[in-house]
Amino acid sequence: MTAGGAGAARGRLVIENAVKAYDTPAGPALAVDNCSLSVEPGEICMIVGPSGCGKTTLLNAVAGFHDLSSGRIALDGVEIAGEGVQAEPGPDRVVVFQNGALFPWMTALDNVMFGPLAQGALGPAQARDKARAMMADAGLADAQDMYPAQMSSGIRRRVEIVRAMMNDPAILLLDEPYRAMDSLTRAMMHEALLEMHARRPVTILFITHDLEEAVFLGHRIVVMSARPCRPTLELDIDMPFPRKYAMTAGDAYRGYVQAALEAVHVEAVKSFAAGEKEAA
Amino acid sequence: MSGALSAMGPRRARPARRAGPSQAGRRAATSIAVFLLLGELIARAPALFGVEVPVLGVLPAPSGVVAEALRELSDPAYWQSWYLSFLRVAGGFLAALALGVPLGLLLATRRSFRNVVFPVFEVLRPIPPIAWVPAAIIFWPTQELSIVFVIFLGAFYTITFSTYHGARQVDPALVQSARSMGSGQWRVLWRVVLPAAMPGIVTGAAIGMGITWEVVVAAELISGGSGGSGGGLGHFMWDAYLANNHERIVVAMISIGLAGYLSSTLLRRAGRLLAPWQPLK
Repeated sequence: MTAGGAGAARGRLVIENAVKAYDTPAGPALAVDNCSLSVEPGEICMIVGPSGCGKTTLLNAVAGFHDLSSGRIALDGVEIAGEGVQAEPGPDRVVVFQNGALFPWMTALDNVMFGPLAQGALGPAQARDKARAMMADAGLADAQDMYPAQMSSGIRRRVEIVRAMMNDPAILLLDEPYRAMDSLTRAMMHEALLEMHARRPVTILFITHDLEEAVFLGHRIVVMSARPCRPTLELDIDMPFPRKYAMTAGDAYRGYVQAALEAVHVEAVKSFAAGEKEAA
Repeated sequence: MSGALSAMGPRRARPARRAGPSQAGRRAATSIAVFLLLGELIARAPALFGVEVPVLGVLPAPSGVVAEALRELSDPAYWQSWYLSFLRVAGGFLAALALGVPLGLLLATRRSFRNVVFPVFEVLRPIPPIAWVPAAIIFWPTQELSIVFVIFLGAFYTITFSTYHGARQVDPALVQSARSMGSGQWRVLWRVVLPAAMPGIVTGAAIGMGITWEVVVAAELISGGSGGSGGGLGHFMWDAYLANNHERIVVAMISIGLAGYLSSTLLRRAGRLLAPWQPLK
């Protein structure tokens, strides 16, 4: 990883002994249990685990959407969750959601301009110039004046990532952003994301349950246990960047997918059994 | 009117499709013509056939209504009635919009506010606006204010409720994403929840507008009937009734229908301007 400029030093995420329990009529239910994880600046860290394992809960705690029951999370040394810290979302860690959250009443350009205007970081003219430039860099100049309903799902998601990057975040939080897409579109999304990351190496925390996606995109894969969520396996993906889709035919890639699959499968079986119990 | 005509133009130009729309248009014209002709025959039955049609016989002849309408069109007093009713509807409706939309948004987004205010709202809501007339007359210093107040109530509950409902159904991801990008509470309310709720608000406003016309006529009938200065289309109709002018009663009824239709059309236009984007999916 070569990462130049001030951006490289930012984006160190440290999660220590994070616990999140929800109150339910049947008593407290653990969603995240004693989870520790650190992510280096500029790293693409893929979180995989069975559906409903609490990955999103962990990501939402990083995003500042809710508190932890105990433990702490720090971003670049600043505590963002923990004892005595009020959970508060911020533009240093922007989330891109599973089903997309572009504002349907705004054009792509207005969507992309939203963050800096909301923060008062830029004036309207500056924000517009920056948004135009960033959309052009991402190859989205033609989509500027479209409303989300007029875009394909792929364009929508790419605009949304540009919108997130407009805030100069220290970390980008992606919650299964390509879940509902067909594999062709998804392949294009992956390459576009990696291109963006090459231009601006932001730290990425990426939740998915698609192992091939995880291996293709990540510097590292963290396999989470069945609920409550806790890392059970960390897998460094030692494949060179820029990654191209041709690599997915190689032995190294297949080997990583196989290793991750085995780890996840064990947890998926547990999760399935637990799900049966919970449903009863 | 011109909108309707221009919308028909290209459709007519399309040759195929079994001449559908123009056939429907011909049918509509025929049905209305037959309806008017029947009305005319019933009204003229005593002169034509020497028989009076029971019950329906008292209705005025369509030709008489048209003649009366033509007379009224050149009478400034008639237009003054339109003006007064529109003014009252606009006043009450705009007040309902100005109070109902913020109230609906707050009810939807502030839990403690909702817990305190919603019960009162729900207790008052089932009371029909017309039932407020006597209380309003006592409470407000002028009759004009009491009429506007009752109109306000007619639109207020509907607008508040549909705003509340629209705002409750906003995708939480939109709100979280706005907060994630550094929006404060008020910015989220104004820039995210309000536009997301806009389709619901426009629907509620259209329904509320319909209610205001029901209410304004009733309120004017009551205030005009009790010897007040009144004015407005409701009062105009009451006058026609007192004068036993059946033709003018029908002119008044049609005018009120038209007035309601025109305000709904205006509102739909405004709604399209306020929400030009197409909904996702």
